Amino acid sequence: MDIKIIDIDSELYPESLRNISNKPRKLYCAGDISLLNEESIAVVGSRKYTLYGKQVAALVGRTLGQADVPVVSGMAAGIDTFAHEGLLESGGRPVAVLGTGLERPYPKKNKALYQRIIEEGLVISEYEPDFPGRPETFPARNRIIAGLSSAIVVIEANFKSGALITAQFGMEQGKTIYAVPGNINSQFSLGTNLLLRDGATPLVVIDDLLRDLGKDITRADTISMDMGPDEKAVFDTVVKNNGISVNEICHNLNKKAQEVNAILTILEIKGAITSYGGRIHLAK
Amino acid sequence: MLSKVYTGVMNGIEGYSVGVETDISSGLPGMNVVGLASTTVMESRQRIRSAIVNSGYEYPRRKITVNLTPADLRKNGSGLDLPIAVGVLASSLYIDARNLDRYGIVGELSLDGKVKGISGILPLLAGFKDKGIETAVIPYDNYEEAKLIEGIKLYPVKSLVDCADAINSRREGDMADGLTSVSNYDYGIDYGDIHGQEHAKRAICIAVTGRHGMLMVGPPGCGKTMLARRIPTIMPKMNKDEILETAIIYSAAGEETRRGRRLGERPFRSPHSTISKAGLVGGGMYPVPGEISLAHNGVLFLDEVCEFHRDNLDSLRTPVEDGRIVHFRSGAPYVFPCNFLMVMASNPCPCGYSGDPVKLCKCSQAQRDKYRRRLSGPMIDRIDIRINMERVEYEELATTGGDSTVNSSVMRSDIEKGLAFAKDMGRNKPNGDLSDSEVRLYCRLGPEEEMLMGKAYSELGLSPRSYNKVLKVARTIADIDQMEKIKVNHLAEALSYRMLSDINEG
Repeated sequence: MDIKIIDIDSELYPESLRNISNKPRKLYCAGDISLLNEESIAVVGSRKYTLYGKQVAALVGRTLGQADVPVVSGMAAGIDTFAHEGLLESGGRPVAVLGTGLERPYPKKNKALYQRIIEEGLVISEYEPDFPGRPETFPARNRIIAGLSSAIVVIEANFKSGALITAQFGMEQGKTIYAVPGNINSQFSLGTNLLLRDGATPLVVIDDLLRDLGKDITRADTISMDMGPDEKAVFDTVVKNNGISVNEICHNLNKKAQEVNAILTILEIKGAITSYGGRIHLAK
Repeated sequence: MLSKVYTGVMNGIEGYSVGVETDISSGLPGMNVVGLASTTVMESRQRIRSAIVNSGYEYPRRKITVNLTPADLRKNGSGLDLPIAVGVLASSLYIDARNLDRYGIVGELSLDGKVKGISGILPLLAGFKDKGIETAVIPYDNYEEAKLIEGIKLYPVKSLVDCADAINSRREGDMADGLTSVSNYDYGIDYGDIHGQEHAKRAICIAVTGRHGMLMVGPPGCGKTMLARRIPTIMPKMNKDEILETAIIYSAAGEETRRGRRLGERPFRSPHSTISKAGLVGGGMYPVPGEISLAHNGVLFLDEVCEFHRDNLDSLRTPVEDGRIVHFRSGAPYVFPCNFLMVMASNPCPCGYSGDPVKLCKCSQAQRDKYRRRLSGPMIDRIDIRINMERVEYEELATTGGDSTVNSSVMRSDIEKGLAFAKDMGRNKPNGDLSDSEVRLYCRLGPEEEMLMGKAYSELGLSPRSYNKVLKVARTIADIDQMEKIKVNHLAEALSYRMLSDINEG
């Protein structure tokens, strides 16, 4: 791995980090260091997630990728990973800030993603390359995530999530905080809903992100699917009740489980729906 | 004087006939037993002495030698008490030794001379029949159970005196009539008890029809156990052979006398996850059947399958594939059958709330990964059908399921239709057991169906292994529809039950 060390006195040192408190003295970087000075957006969230969080994270990632806005994240399991995966899907450029040294990325499961981020984007750490990470270094790197980006999107966060720490740093640094609203009885959205109560901007339409950055929204993203009448009926039921169970579809449409199961498989193959934890959701 | 009594011992689930030769000669008083007798048999000397004295006979004050033949067969069990006592009485001329060769005698004695029931009466009687013995003298306690065997006369006795009288007066027992009629067993539970859950009920129907291994994944309290318990109620009526096979296994394990299982009841075994390997697959110095054999012709339900020890689950592999398990003890094989429907249930993670849209799962990623890894390899190979069940709120249970039209008799008729159709098509083994080459033979697809499977392969990330499983399940669904060819809707439904690497997704 080709690691570049950027000192605080170097002219390559990003301006955005010079203004934050407790700024890192050195940055260890691998990948395209020009990304350090580009306007980017942080997308963060907790490691534990629901299908809702996963889908929104991927959608935000994809949207920003299409608009060629770099996405900064922590490469943790869960939301961080989905955001970067969505971004890479649409050819975007990811920036990952690690809480460990560059030679010992965490979690190990994300090894493949880590390699892709180095190839397509940039990874950063303030620690020596062989530093294994300590519990306190992960929240500490969140100030760099917040510092590098001009806005922070929190997708899903429970009460104690590290994503809230990122948002906290962002607020101190005067960045725009977007939070994705969730059900008020969902533990996974408790943190984001609290951010909204405290004045964060609700992310209700994804394109708002681009509009706020002053980017054009030109996408031809049409989902066209040919469905038979039965498939249409089942699909419409899922559209009306995202997260419905198979049994409920059976009751609503007065169909037998065998028919509904067969139709759902076809819809899944067509990419219209997905199932998770025994419930049926829209794929996008 | 020398006498010879016929009796039998059980090894595994097979009965072997054994001769008891008793000789009383001059010498120091005492009894010697030779012929590979186990501790239980050696201890019987004490019981026999008291039983004889307390029955009003005089115990010979001379040297008694008992020889058990054949000498190379290990003899275990308390059933030898009564024959040895009869041998002693015959040698001391209380019993007419000339009458002995028509009887096969088994039973345990208590000190007061009463005859008590023994385990394994059915295999023993089968051994007597092979030997050509006319009348079996058996403990009264075992009479009901013993009647299952055809073609041997049974004379039940309550005490040693009864037994002596019967032999002296050359009594003949009544011919056992075997199983005259098999009535439908009433389990007292029904799928009609469960509201809604049509999705799971349908999957269970398919699993029973094709004997497909099945896994239910869902949070605590969603009804997995309730659904599994009712599987015997929809399985086809047991035939005579099945009833006898099952009865013999239960008899050998001593379960028949202990629990009073009723005839025609399909076994439902639900071992706890802390069960030992021997308890699961059988074992012991004198091997006895384990849970998998007790589930023969019925259902083995592994609840909380991820809590079972990996070793124990892995030990199921060979027996499940072969439909029988062989234990070797001192070079001799003990074979127990174990053909059952395997049904497993699991929580999505240790705390049970992973994937729940509202409640927060308390497990770490490492805990969840470890939990799921328990279910890898051999067990996943046995799972053809997987369903995910959602948490059911109490209100939903009460409101959505108003009438549950899908009850056990409806489900059983579907299953019987499917089985009859498969039989008409010349397939005699369950679809779940089809080999790869048989899958190619019986599960041919038309062009439209091939196209769907091709798409499924790429869009749903199907593996080659799960490809074959989907075909087998689709074959069973087509059987239930009584269709010779597998159609697109059969495949599509089968695909919805496919196994995923992450048990929580899908």
